[in-house]
Amino acid sequence: MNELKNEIQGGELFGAIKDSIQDARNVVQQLAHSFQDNVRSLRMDGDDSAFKELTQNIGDLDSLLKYIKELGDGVNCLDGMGLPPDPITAQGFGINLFREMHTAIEVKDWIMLSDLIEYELAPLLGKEDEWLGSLDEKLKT
Amino acid sequence: MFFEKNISALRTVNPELAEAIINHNKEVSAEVVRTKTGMPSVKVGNISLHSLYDPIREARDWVRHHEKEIEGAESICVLGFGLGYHVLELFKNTEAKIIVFEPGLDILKTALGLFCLTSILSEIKIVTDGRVPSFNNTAILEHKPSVNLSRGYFEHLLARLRARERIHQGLKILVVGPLYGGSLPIARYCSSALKKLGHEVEFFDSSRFSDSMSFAKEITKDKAWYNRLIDMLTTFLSEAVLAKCETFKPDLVFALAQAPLTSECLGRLRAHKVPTAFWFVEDFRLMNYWRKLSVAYDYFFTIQQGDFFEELKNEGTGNYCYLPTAACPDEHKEMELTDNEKDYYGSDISFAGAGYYNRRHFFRGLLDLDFKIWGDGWPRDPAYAKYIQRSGGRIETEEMVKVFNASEININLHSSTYHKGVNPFGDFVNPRTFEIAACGAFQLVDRRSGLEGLFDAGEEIIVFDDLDDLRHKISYYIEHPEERKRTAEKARQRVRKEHTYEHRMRRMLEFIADCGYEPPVRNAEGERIQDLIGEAGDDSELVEYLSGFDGRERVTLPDIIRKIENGEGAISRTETIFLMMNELIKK
Repeated sequence: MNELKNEIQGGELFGAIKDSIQDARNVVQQLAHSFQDNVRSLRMDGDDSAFKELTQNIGDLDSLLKYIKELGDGVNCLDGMGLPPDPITAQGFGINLFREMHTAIEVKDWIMLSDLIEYELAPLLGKEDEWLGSLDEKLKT
Repeated sequence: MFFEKNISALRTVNPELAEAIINHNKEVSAEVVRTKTGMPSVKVGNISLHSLYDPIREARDWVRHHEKEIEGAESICVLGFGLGYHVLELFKNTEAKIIVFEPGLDILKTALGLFCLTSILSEIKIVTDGRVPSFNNTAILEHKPSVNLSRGYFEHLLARLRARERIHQGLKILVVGPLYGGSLPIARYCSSALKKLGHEVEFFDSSRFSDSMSFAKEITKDKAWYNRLIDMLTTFLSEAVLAKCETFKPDLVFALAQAPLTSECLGRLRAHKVPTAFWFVEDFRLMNYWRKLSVAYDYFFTIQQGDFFEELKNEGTGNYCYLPTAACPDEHKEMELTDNEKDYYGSDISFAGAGYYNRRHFFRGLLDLDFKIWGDGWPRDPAYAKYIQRSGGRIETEEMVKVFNASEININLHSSTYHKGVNPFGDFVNPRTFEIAACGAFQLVDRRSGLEGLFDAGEEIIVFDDLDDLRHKISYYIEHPEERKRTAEKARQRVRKEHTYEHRMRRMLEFIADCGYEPPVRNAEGERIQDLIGEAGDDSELVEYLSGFDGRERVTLPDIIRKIENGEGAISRTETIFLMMNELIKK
């Protein structure tokens, strides 16, 4: 395993993982901004475009989380990394939050939805970004 | 605790709403929830009206989001009150007049029970029904969750507000005046007011044919023949109005009382989808020609409500609206008089107007005072001889204004043909009330229903009930010039604020917009006036000329040519250049 780790750290694959982490961080940051825009639109305008963009962002978030999960799984294969689970999937935080968001959408409570995005999802995305940063740091060592 | 205080504050400005809220006993659907910051929010059904985390921050963001619309607005319409977080925040950030529309009495009741809102309740206007007040240069801000909650109400309201916005962007209006009489100057004031409001106005001046009426009177003493001649004159003028419409293509034909428009002519205008409005500035009990005409007009404006509204409803009149007369501050104004003018026009008490039946009787009780009577129609009674000025000759506006300014006390007794003094059933306010007030002159006016909504009696205007009361008040106010001055100034301020013909014309157009009239959407024709003024640079004559189109956003060369053609006096250098440009383009 150590050999594999050394091989990874010294090789192209290591570079690719590091690049993937950076890509994931960029997407997380972009999504955080985009969700903030959603919040503004939902609270102030509430027009069709706000819902289209929100749907798009939720889809992108879903893809991102799958990507991060694979990334985390891959990195965890490396012995001794001892990574905590990513914040969104940890202890079902994300699942509970998405369930509440889903309910808010169902009853068309856009203020509740905006609150969940602004005060729950946005900080979670921030933590996710930090987690990816720590992953990057660990890979350096 | 808060509820009582809030209701007291609301009662001072809107007692009807205060009562409606108190009496609203339907099951409250608004559920108060505590937010993460500890402040309350509210849910109606499943819908949250404010953030469940930080409603104050949300309100600040809402105001910031609408910053550009708020800046420069004279009034702001807020759609939805909720618990009022956003309204409080808006109030802190603007000096504009705030009008909040909120159909949910239960929501208002909840809000009034949760916070101390006294600071805003007496300053803003809350509307819970479909009545949209008059306002200038407004920004419309939506509180989205409230709008979503009462979508039907707000969609209807928004459509009306947008129609109002468009109607103020400039219509082509043909104002049709009468041949003669009291509504003739009003027609001119309306025409001028509409121009000032930025509309393109043509005045159809029927008074050019007033000699024809005198001619008909001279030709025959036979009533049937006279009526036949007058009918023919009216038909001729109606045709002339139609001919004018053919070229001018107005968006609205606005006629004043006694305007020579026949039902047939109005029918043809309706068939050509030209909307028509009529301002009946007369007593409906005295003049009954409105019965024939009220259904022929699309919009009918009155100076009386109550019984008249019932009658109009019974006649099947569609859109009618109360629109009291007003003053024209360009004409009715404070004047510096020479000593000679003060001597000539001045007296302790005066009256300017026609000698109607009630005035002839009533003023006998004032003949021991320093009293001057101006106007025509007074009896050749020796008792009156020394009081009636210039042997009862007609008095024009300019002189009437001098009388108002020169008199210590102006008596304003509304006319009546069947009472011997004050008409106890009088239910309209005459133009003289506004005109005297606009001059900053002091008046004593007979008590009328309707007056109370226009002036604050006792503060801005002093009313009398009968001769004894009038004599008592004359004695008092002759002895108290400072009080007269103070009262008159308050009345003048009130007129400038609410009772000019510009206010009335704006209200008229708003009513028309509220009735569903769709103002035409015009392409942005012509040049922006501000750009042209900028380009005119140092040419002060041109700058001044273009500034004469104040109120309009754009102007075309045909607009300028029309203005020159309708103008009076010698043609200026600037006008000559425009006329030459026009000729060159034609060639």
